Amino acid sequence: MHRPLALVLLLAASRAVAAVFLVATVEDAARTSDAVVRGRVERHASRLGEGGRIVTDVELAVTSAWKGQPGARVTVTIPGGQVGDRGAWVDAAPVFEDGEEVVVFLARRPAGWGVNGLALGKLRVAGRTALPGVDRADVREAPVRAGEARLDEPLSVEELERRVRAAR
Amino acid sequence: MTGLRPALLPPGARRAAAALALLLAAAPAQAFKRSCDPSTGACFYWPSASVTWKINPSQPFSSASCSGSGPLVAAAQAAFAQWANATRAGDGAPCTALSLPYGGATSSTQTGAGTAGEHIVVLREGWCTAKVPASDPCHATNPPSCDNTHNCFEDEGGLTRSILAITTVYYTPSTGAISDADIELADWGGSAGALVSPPPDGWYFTCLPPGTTPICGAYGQASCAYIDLQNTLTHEAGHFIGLAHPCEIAQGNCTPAMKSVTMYPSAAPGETSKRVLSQDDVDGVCAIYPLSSSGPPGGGFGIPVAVTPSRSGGCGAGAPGPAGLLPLLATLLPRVRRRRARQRTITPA
Repeated sequence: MHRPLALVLLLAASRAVAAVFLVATVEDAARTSDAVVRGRVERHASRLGEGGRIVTDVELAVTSAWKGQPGARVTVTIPGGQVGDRGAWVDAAPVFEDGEEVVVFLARRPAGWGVNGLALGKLRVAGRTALPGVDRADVREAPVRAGEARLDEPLSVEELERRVRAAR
Repeated sequence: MTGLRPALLPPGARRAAAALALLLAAAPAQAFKRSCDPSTGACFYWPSASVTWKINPSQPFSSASCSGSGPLVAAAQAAFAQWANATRAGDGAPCTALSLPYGGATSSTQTGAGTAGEHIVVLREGWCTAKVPASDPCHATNPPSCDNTHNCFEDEGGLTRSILAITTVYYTPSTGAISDADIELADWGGSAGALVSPPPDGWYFTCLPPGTTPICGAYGQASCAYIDLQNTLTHEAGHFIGLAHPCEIAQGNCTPAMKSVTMYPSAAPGETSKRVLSQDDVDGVCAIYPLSSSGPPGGGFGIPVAVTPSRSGGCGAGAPGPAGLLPLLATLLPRVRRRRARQRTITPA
């Protein structure tokens, strides 16, 4: 792809997440997650869930597990999506793209996996940086424990992994 | 935007980029954004200019200042009225045709599919994992479904307790026309205890005048401010009508000046400034729902609305600012490239 065009498309792409969150830390996210993985989004498909709600199943190919042992492939179910001529947009839901490199904080469910903290619990890997799934625009400020890192700010992937593995 | 270097572009694209640069130079530094379908790029709008909403004021554990239906309804009415009465600075009348009449109280706690008959604000009573026994089958569905059955806020994983409120919008992907929207607030579940972050039993919403101090330190404490209900609802009502937040941290375009925008609700407990719309918020609602138009509802009404299908989310169209013009350039450049390719095909070597 032509370099300027690629840049334009990158800049034009914006995420739809816009709920109101309280700031959390990487350590908060790691402590409260059943598993944390780095991986690649293989595919996604929407369906009707309980009560007719539209949900989307996102299949991840796990390249490394930083916490827990969720297996080589993980399917996470997130609220919202499209089924036929009906769409559901949930402002706190994470947004996944096929082929996207991600770090996901997972919550175990009896029937599968969810994303811990919805949009807070998904980061996009861009080169060596892990970009947050929510914007500072959506995050209410709060004190952060000394030595911990905010989850809504970009971190290097190495730093993120170190913090996740060290969280107690 | 400094990465857009016309010298690297083909001649046609250079002209387009030059024209765009002129537009950008004249554009405001910040601009509202609309929520859009991630696949089709169609941005959300209510096809009717009058959208009736209701509130379920039955919340036995509200803070003293929000207790009873009066303060809850008043806060919600004030929040929706901000958008319906949006008026540009210096004007004497609203610039939007949008009407958001209060439809009265509802006993419903149902949000999501099958609830299009009512667009509701509901105050969930505490976290589902704390309120509902783990053996309840609502936890076993994927995703969990305790919220509608037990009127609690889904908090699986624990980190979800960082969320104050959620707005769900149902729409038609091809057009963006909204058919239903509901707002859920993660309100207090009634337990005693200190207000730590994240709170152990839902958020402690308060309904007090601006400037009220001190900040509450415990559930049940009266005459103190914590998360202002009207402040939060004014922001969520912006999503209800189809607006998104104004900037993206990943793009580095959030500025301190944007903190005055209602759709940019960075705030500490006790903040009330987002109860009142900024000029940018007013521009947003008046662009989607102008007083008069020859165009289709939600079509932009004279504002360049470019649609860029993207799995990654909002189209960013809605204002003549940089964010709204990027998709336009993204659509222009491939056309220039295709035209050049055709020219190469028909030109003898």
